[in-house]
This record gives sequence, C-alpha cells and structure tokens, in this order.
Amino acid sequence: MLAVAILLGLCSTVAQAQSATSQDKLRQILERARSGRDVAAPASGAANVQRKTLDPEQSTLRNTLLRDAEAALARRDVLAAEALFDRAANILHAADTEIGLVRTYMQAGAYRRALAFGAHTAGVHLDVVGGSALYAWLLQVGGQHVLAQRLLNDTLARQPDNTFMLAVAKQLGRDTPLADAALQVPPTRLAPYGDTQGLASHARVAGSAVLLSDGVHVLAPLALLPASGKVWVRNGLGQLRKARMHQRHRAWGIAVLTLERALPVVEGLQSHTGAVFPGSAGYALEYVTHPDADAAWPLLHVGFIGAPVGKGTQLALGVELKDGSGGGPVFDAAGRLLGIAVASGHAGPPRLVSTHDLQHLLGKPLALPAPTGPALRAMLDQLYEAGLKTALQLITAR
Amino acid sequence: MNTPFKMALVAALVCAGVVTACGGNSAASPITVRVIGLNDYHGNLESPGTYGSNTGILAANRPAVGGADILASYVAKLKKEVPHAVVVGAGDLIGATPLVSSLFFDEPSVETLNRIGLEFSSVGNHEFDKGSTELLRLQNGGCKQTAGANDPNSCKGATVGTPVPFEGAKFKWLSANVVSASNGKTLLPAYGVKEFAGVKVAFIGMTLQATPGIVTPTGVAGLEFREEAATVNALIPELRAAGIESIVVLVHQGGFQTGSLSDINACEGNLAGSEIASIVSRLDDAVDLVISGHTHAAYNCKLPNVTGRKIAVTSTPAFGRVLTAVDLSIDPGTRDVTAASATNVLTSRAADSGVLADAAVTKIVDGYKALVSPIASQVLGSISATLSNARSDGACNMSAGELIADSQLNATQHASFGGAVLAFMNGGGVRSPGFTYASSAAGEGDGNVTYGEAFTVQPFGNSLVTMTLTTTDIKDFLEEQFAGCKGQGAATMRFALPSAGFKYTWDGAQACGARISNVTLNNGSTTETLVDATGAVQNPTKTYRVTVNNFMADGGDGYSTLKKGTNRLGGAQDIDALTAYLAGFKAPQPAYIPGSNPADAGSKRINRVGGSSTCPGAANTNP
Repeated sequence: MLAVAILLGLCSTVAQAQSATSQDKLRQILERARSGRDVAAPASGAANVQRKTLDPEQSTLRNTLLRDAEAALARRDVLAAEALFDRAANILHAADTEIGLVRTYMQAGAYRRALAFGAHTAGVHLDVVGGSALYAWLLQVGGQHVLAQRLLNDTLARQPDNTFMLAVAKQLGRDTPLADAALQVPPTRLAPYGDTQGLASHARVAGSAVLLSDGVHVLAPLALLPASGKVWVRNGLGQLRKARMHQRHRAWGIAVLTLERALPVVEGLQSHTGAVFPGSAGYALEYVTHPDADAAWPLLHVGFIGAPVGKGTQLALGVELKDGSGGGPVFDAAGRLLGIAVASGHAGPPRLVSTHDLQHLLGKPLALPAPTGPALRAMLDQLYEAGLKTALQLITAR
Repeated sequence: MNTPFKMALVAALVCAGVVTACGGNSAASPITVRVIGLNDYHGNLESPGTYGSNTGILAANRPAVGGADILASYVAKLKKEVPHAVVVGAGDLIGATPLVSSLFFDEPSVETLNRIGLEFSSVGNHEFDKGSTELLRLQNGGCKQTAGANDPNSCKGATVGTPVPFEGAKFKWLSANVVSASNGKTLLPAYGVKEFAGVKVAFIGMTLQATPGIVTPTGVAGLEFREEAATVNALIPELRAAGIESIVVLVHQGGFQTGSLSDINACEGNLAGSEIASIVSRLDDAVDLVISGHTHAAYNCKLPNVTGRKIAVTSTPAFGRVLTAVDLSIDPGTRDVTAASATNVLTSRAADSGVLADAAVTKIVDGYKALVSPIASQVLGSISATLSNARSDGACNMSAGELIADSQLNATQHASFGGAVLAFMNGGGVRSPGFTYASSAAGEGDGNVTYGEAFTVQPFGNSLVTMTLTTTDIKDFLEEQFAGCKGQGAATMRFALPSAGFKYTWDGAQACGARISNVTLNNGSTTETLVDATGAVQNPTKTYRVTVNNFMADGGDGYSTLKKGTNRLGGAQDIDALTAYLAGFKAPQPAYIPGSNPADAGSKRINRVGGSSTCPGAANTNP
C-alpha cells in the first residue's frame, strides 16, 4: 500500500508537459499496484523479526518517513530523500529503507556508494528479494555480468517462484536489460527517476551521447538525430536538457549539440589525448534504445580496442556494444575519456572516434588533457560512476 | 613450579579472592584502559559515504567517513593518546560485504582488520553466513578450497601484498553462547583476556540467541545458540576465580533510540523495550561495559543491570562510520572498573580531521579493487596447444616467445604505429608458465587464453619501441646474445625470439662475433638474405624498422647494440599488442597453431649447427 500512496503522490507531481507515453506508463504502474498485481510488493516485505515488535506510533512514523523520502526521490531531491531514509533507518534496520538509500545514492550519481551498500542490503535481507534484485541490477549495468548472474541464481534458488525476481532475471538475461513498468515500482524501482519537463509526446530514447567537460556541449552520432531537430539528452541521474544542433561533421558521423543549460560534469575528468593502441582495454557505455523516454541507467561493456579500420587512422571499437546504436563514451583503463563509439551500420563494425581526432576536429579539448606518463588504473565502479554523468540518453521526437 | 613463584601466586590469589582490603589499602593511581570498539563493519574496506553525528546535520555538511585505511589511522590515534588500549568488535565484521571483500571470501576484511589492530570480537549472525567451517578458516587461515583445489579468488596475497596462504584473523573471534550440539563446547573461545599493568580485563563475546532464525540453516547446522545474559552470568565465577574483576561484554544485539535526532552520543528513550536493554537488565553486577551492535544504530547509554546499577552500553551505526572509545578507570587494587566514560567518534576523512589514511592499508584495498575487474576473465583468443616459456630445442626456440614477438610485429607494422618489419622478444621477459592449453580454474575452457593468463606471461607493462637498425646492427645484436660476447655477461646466454619470417643459424663452436649466419627475412612474398652462410653481412647499411620492448631498447639483458637504434617511436604496451593479436584467433576464427605462420614456411626460426639438444643457459656457449 505504501507503493500505491507513493505513486499517487507521484502522479500529482507529474508535469503537464510530460510525454503522453510516460504518463500512460505511470498510470499502468499505478493500476497494477491498485489491483494487487504489484510484483514489486514482495520486495518491501518484512525485513526481520524486529519489525513485528515496532510499536504502532513508531511504525506510523516510519511509514511516513518512507513515503516522504520516496516522494523526495521522485522529485530528484536527493538530499531530502537521504535525510528521510536515514531517519527511517534509525527506527528499524529494514530492507525497504536500505533499498531506498541505495536508489538515493544512485540518483545522486554515487554508484560506488550504492554498490557497496547494495551488497550489504542483498546480503543482510535474504528474505526480501528486492535487495538482491537491485544489487544484481547494479552489478549487471556496471559490467559485472558474471557476478550479477551468480547473485540471481542464488536468489532464485531461495525463492524460485518469486515473480518479481523472475521478471528481473528475464531482463538481466537479455543483452539489453530494461526496467519495464513492472520493475519501476518502488521500493525496488530499477531505474532512476527522470525529469520529463518539456519532453515532446512520443519522444523516444534513440541512442547515447557524450557530455563534454564544459557541461553544455554534447557529442552525438549524426545518424541518430531527427530532421525535426527535437532532441533532448538525459544523464544517469535523470537530469534532462533540451539540445540544439551546433555543428555537423558528416565525414566523421558526429554532431555537436548545445544544451539549453549545463549538466553536471565529472570533476577532474581527463581525456586520453595520445594515440590509442589496438588491444588496449576499453570501457564503453550505452543506453538501451526504446520507444519511449523513460529514464534508465547506462550499461557498461568491457573489452579491448580493435584493429585499424581499413587504411585510415580510425580503430574498430572492439568493445562489443549490445544495443549497438552507439554514441556513448569510451574510457581507457585509467578512466580517461578515450572517445565516442559510433555505429557504422552496414559499413562495418562500430568505430572509436578518439578524443585525439575529435580535438583536432572541434579545435578544443573534450576534457582536461591527461598528463603524460603512466596513469593509475581506474576501478570499474569508478568508471561507471563517471559514466553516469558523461553518458547521456539521446532522446528524439519526430 | 618453583617455591618463590608459588608464594607469589598464593599471595596474589589471596589478594584477589579474599582480602579486598589488599587492594583497597593501595594508594596506587587508577589505570586507564581505553576500549576502542566497532560493530557491524560488514567489510566496508572503502568509505561507505558521508555521515553526520546526528540527523540534524545537513546532508551537504556531512563528511565522508570510514574505510579500512582511515579506521586504521583513527585506531592508531586513539591508542596513542593513552598508555593502555584494546581494540574490540561486536560482530558482523564480515558477511553481507561489498564486492571488494565478498568476492575474495572476506579475506580482505580479515586482513585489513588485522592491520587496524583488532584484538577481540564477538561473532555476529553474519559471521555464520558461509557456515561455521568457513568461519574457522577465516580465524585460522589457509586457502578456500573449491572442488578440492585452492579457489582462484582465495589467497590473493601475492598480488595485494599480504602473506600467502591467507594469514587468518590475528584477532580472536569469541562465541560464548555458540556451542556444539554434540559436545557442548563453544565453537570459538568464550572470552579473551588482556592484561594492563598487571590487571587482567576479560572480554566475553557472543551473538544474539536468535541467530539461527536469521541466517541460512546450513550455516549454523549442529550449533546451539544460548541465551545471552545467562551465558555471561555463568562465566563470572570462572573469571573471578582467575582474578579477573574487569569484565566487558561484546554482544551482537542492540536497540534503537527514540526521537528523530539519533545523535551518536545520545540515548534517547534509553533503548526501552529493546533486546539489548533486556539483556543488560539481567547481567551480573560484575559486568562493567557492554559493546553492542546488530541494529546499525548508534547510541551511548547507561542502562541498569540486574542490581539497578547503570553500566555503559554503546553501539555505532555500522560500516566503520563511527568508532567507540570507552575509557575505563580501573582500581589496580581491586582490579575492578570504577568508572567508564564512552564517546562515539566519527571517522571523518575530511582534511580538517587531521587524520590521514593509513597508506599500507590503502594499498591492500586498492590491490583487491584491481582484482575485482572482470577484465581478467575476458577470453582474448585461443591456441591449439600449450605454448611454453621453456626452450623447446637445442637451438633455443620458444613457442610462447614466438607468439609474443609476432604480436609485437603485428602491433607495429602499420605505418602510423612504427612500420616495423620484424620484432624481437627477450626470452627472460616471457614469464612462466607461458600459455597453457588446459583451462584454468576460472573455467574459460581448454585452449582459450584469458586476459588474466596473458597478463601472467607479460606482467611488466613494457611498452613497444620501433627503431631503425642497419643490417650490421642486426648481426651485432644476434652476436651479443652469447655469453661474454660484445659486452654480454660472462655467464648469461640471451637468445631473443624473432617474429615470423625471420630466421638465422648459430654455431656455438665458433668465436665471438662469428657465430651467426644465414640470416633471412621473409616479408610474405620474397625472402631477403641479411647475412649469408659464411657470416658475411650483405647490405651492411641497409635499414630495417625493428620492434623490441623498452627494456631491450634501453640495452637491457645486455643488448647494448639496440641503444644504437634511431628514429624511435614509442607504442603500445606489450600486453595490448598481445591482446590485439590474439583477437585474430578468437572463435569462430581458427585457433593459433604454433609454427604454422606462412612466413616461417614450416621451418624453425632459430637454427643451430652442431651441439647437443640442450639450449645453453650459462657460460658454456656450445653444450
């Protein structure tokens, strides 16, 4: 019932300008919750025996705090959400509160913190599948597929008929997992809350893009941009901006867009400005394309940069993209921006357009130039955390 | 037992057990012992984020806290401030841990807790997540066994800088109320004792009685979990008989404050109705302090025991975000605690805290973090047979080295990457065991080579250098492979491995500088002779673009001729080159078959005149 109350509150705050598709989806989620078909409900089940001993007054207070926290999170007011979830956590050590905190950290772009706390939630609250589902999802999107699958298997072994977990497993079994309506219901909502203000009807996620270090310019694949010029971008924190065409570079298949307002950037993000060598480790991020404009977390793929394409200087991306639409950022092993992934369609494998080439093309650095010399290896969670801000959903409308 | 010692012991026992005035008459100053406590650490080796000392602190103003490295420094600081200290835990130090610990069976948590200085800890329910046998392994050390062998994710000390095999906990896990159902003995010691200036303090450790209801049944099979307060009270006579009056209970059970502030040093509501308040209310008056946990809630309380006397009861909010420091005043005469003053301390990482992270612990954590990357298990390509790093014949060919040389040529052939026509790999740089055909424990499958395996063979992070050498330089380079020749060490033979299409013959019976002949280079269509059968250089000044690693390029392994190379172009790392090359042999493409490169035309790259089938390795150039 808490989920229903939260969704009712959410509906009331939905901006009128929200896309019709997104509104429809939210309504469907609400109906599922009302009709008792809320498959996420088990995720908020009793966390431990202490819950039974909570006095009514404390129980009421806790529910109020959780409801207010979720509403704050839906407004993407992460500071308020964290404070409210923290207060609830000081009343009861319970899965629903911790799941809310993990999602709050993600909404704030703190993947590392979310992952660490998500591991705890999954490990402590074995009777509540939501913690395991969320942790598995975060592992999967962050490139830890084997570990995500192991966790899924362990959880399903404990609760083989849990419909929510089966729905999660089905999505994570795909190359392009997407939190459909059933997986967007709090408390175990497997996606960020996304801004929808100003989105056109029938806007859709067409691919990915890269935010440059000034926060107002974006690299995007030219092929994905519609003739209508209706383009938005949204980061992994759910922050949305309208974008307009700034430059076209047809030979490279790249466009530079300008945002109406700056998006937050990764402080100190460096670009790899030297030559890129085949066989070096590459980390590519992409968003899953879909026919509406729901917010999502990007997927991180790990691999190795490929061989030169033809006789030119461009390299095959090498890292296998699952969605394949391209446009996302590629990092090197030190967490430096290596370039943008561009799908080549029928012309061959996806390519890497390197920051080295892009800087010549654009006449300005994409990020802080990395100092010469050996660089420290970045950790995978650190890379993904940078990707939450640097990788953007490319949203278009006809 | 000698007589003087016997007499002293009798005197001590009389003092301890009978004549309280013995101590009471003493004018000795009280001893201050600082008990530094943590609970519910859950293997948070890295900072779990920001935290405020109460909910009134705005989220934006909360400092980053915790992490094994900063915990180590805070503990060191707290210890340094007093003459006597002990570091204790109240359970759930492991289990439900982040990937950096859980992936390695929580060995990283134990290793870092060792270095933080933990001495005693109660078990918590999560210590039993993987069963009592695994808990005992973590206590005693040794590698995790999987299918009869060391698990590949256990005993990673060689990589992260800790002992191998896994050292086990240097601290003592205590389990006074966890007993074997079959023999009634505790799984782990019921208590530990530490002596301060001649006064012993006991630490009784236990978990909540309800543990079996909240952990996987197989994890606690065969064990009984007994009532907490009764367990403590039953131990008091035994401790007193040993002359111990200062008693601390470490219990994995807790409660919550009421109200909304939840200050880490408050006790709103006195934990009324909580499990921990109930336990304390039944504790023997001999207990002086309770360090608790389980609820992840902070409090700093004074709660009534069975006599109504209020004793200190503390807890921190989990994950190493806060440490507890309790200063116990102990009368050296009575050996009992006369006062306890507790403070919960935020483990701030902020610069203004004045506390810097412990670099040695940071290094261990970073080492494990690097191992978490899934990149190590990525399959790069496949091979048809094992490619050893051992010399395969008397001419000193080496299949693993040939693959590496081929990869380096491949990486630098393109004009923009150097325009190389041949490459050499130093044999010593090809690390053991080479490339094995059989699947590793990681399960990548026979013939598949993972990035982790490739890195084992090429671990140095050398970069490739493509340089211009003359035919004479190449001949000189080949001649200086022999011990004592052209500056090479007197007892070192340094046969480098050439890339495909390059061949030469050596004769160890000849003099230094005259051992090399028949040097040819096949570029895929034609074969060029650099040195003929008599050893004569054909076109002495003709130049070739040659790739070696930066170690060799700088004259390493005695290859001083390579320092003459001109027009040097730095390139990829050796491991990158190997990765890129193996990609050409990844399924569905055929596996790499040693010796099958068309440029080799089916014959060996290094050939020998005379001698035995033994590749020379020392001063004897022609065994």
